[in-house]
Amino acid sequence: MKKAIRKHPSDRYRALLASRNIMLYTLAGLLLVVVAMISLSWNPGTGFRFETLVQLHQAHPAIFLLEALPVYIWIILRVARKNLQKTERSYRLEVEKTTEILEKNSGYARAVSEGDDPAPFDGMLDTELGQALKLIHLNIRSNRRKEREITWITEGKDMISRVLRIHNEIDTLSYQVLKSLGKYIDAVQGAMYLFDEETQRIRNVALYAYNRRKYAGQEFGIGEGLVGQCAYEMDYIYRTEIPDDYITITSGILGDRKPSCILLVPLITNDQLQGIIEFAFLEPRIPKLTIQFMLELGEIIARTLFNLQVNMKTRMLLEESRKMTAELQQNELLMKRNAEEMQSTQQQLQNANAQLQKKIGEEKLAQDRLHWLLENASEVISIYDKDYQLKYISPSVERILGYRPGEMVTGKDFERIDQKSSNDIRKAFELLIEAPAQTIRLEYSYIRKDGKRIFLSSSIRNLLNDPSVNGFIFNTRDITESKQVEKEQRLKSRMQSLSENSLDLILRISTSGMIYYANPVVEDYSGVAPSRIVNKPLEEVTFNKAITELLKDTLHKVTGNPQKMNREITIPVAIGGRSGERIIHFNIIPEFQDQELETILFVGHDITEAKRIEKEIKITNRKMQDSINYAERIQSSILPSTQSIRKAFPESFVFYMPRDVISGDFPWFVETKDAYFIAAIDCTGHGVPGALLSFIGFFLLNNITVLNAGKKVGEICDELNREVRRTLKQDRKDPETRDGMDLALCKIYKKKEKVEFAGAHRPMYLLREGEISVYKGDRRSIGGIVHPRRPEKDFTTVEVQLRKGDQLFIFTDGLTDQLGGPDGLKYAAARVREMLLQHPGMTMEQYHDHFRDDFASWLSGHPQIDDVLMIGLGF
Amino acid sequence: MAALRIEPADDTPLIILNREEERFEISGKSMPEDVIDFYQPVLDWLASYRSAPLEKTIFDIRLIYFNTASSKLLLDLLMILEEIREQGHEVLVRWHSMTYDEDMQEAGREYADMVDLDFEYLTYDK
Repeated sequence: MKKAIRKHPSDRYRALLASRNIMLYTLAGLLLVVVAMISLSWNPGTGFRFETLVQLHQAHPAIFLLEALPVYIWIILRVARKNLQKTERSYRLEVEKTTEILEKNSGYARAVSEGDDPAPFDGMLDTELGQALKLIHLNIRSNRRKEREITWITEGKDMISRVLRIHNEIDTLSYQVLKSLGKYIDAVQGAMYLFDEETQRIRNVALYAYNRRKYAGQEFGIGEGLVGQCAYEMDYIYRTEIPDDYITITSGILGDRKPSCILLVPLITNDQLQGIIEFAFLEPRIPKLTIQFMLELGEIIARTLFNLQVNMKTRMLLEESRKMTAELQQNELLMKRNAEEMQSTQQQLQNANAQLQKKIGEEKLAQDRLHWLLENASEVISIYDKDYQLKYISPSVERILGYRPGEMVTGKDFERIDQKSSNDIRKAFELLIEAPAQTIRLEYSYIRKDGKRIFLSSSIRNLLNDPSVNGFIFNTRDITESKQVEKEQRLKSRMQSLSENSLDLILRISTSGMIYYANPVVEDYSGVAPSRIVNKPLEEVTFNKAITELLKDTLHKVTGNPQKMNREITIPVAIGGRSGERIIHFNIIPEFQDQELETILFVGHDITEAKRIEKEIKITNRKMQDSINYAERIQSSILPSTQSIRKAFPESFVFYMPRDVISGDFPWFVETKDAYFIAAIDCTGHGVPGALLSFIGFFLLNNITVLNAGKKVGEICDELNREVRRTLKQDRKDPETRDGMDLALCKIYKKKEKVEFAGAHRPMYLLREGEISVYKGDRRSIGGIVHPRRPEKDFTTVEVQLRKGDQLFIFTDGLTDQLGGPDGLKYAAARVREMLLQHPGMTMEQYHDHFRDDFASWLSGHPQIDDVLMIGLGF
Repeated sequence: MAALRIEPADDTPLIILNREEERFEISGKSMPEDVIDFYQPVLDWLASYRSAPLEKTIFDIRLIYFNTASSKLLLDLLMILEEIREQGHEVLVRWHSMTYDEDMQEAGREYADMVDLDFEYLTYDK
């Protein structure tokens, strides 16, 4: 802006002091002085004269001062001018300076206005203008930055919106968003997760710059991991400290570097979490703007995701409904067409049906006729194929064999006949293959379904070459009845011949007393020929009186109560070689025809001889029994008396129960000078043989003991063994008996402080203070045959110190081997010990009764196996 | 060779001697009146089996009771088995007894002492 030119006073002042002007003023002063001098020195008459002038000056020196006036003026002016010039120069300088600043300011302003960011120049802030300019600049700059940020955000939003618009598949969309965003905000990695409302899980849907696929599809629950945390808080997470386990990046460019910070932003719209987006950055920190951007964008993405999901759902439903509609339409169409077709088909069917019905009617009639024929035929027709498998059987089978045709064609047919018949049938097949023209007839028995055995006759033909049969054809008839008749006839004739040739007297009489049959034996006993009495009433015949009476009597009884009877009669006979009395035993058998008593059969058997033998046997038996009883008396006489044992052992018992009258087991007792010997001996066998052996044992043991009273019981057993062998000649090459004995032998010194024990297969039990000690004895017998290769060991003697209250038990195996009880088991040694343990402290008499009763109850009903002997001694 | 089977009776055991089925068994009660008469066919059969025995003979003895006379015959029987073993064939006697029947178990051990045969002792309840 140019100011209007206006005369400034200083201008005038300056003009006044212009150099030319000063000259003028000075000259004017000089002129004035000259004039003054001339005038002063001017006399009217003289004119001018110089002397006058000098005089004047002499008179007035001040004139000099006056004359110097132009010099003064000049000096003053000069000084003034100088001053002016100085001022002017300084002003000019000032102006120039000001102009310069102005220009600078204007340049700054221009630069700012042009969008540059100029640095403030020197001295700029010294002026208000400069300060103002700076402020303006700052304002503009901040505005512009804001503007840029807004632009950045806007552009970012625009870009993402574009991406969001373009894609409508969640996966692609997620990936594209992730990729674009990642680039835009300089992230090195990114991941996007979707939140599933139903499962409450957050699932990874897209990865950006992850090198490992395994993170794809990763899932988190609410609160689980950073992602879960972000979802839980519904707020962004910005972390500059990265957990150690955070995925490292391995890209070609970055190498194995861990991101420096991560940002997780929840995608929320309408207060609903849609997903989470996660980015990692290499920079140590990211601008706030990025976070702000992400937050703003989060909502947009969330909205899009939400919409997308809604859209997808809608699309899906739409698609479904569309499909269904299409299907429905198609179905409808099809149905319509089907209905039409069906209608026409039905019509055709109806027509065809009617025709068929007619045909079927005819066919059925024919078939029914055939079926009826086949069903009621007296024969079963069956067809077997070339592999001998039943492939057809006529319905009559059910009536004849009881099985339905379906039950027959199961391959079981051969199981219902016996092995021989089945073989016969197979043979017949083979035969028919060789000679197809033949017909083979077979008879065999068969078990009907009801279990009844019937007889069948089959004629078999080979019709393998007949295409309508293609097999072996069987015509099978039930011939049971004819067989039965045949059999009966055969039986009858056999009976007849049997009766004719029988040694028994046989008569058959009708209920009315008519004699139907009499065999030749009748004559032997009555002297009357059968022909004279047959077909005559009982009343009219003259017959053996005793027999006639029996016949009449029993006829009456059997007619009243038709049951089998036995009678014995004695008749005097005097015919041929037979004379004297005969005893005849009659079997009187009622015979029925159709459950009606028809005849009575009398079979008389001469038992005279049998009676005699029976009598003899009875006598023999009695004699034997007598001798056995006598033997028993002898045996019991050698057995020690209870008294003699009781005398030595007041507290004692002998439980002795032979199986038979006499026994192979026996108790044995001998008293020597120093000791008592007591034994339970079991000889091989029982009854008579056992008793015989027992005598041998008894005497040998007596002798040995008396001769060797001082020896140990084991040695006594050894000696007994040798003696038994010698006596029974078992020491020879071919010994005849293997017999011998088992025993339990005790020697008790008279002071009763000690017992010696030796056992041949027999143990000794010592019951002391409620506990049992078992002394097993040796595993060998006395006598018997020497083992060919094994040397026999000597018997062992066991010595046991006795205490007061001790109780000793020895017994033979007849007790423990006895089978009985509820399950037929052995009495067993364990039961003996159990008994003793369960009832400790009983007296010997109590033990005796106890074992006697227990054994009896164990026996109950079972036969006694062997002789039983048990001896108990109390101290 | 034909198998020998004797059905059990009140006082005799069940005998099965069957080379084809590889079954050799005596079970039940043995207290016949005449032991020799009863066991003779058994010993005869085994004597002829001895001439052609199986590579391994497993003989099951499952007796509930045997009388003294039977015990001698059982020894004869085991001695034939012993001979078979001495011919170089394997023989195993399986001695079955009821768990509670210590006498029968003892008897088995006694036989094992008397003959050179492998015995296996098995017990059973009912």
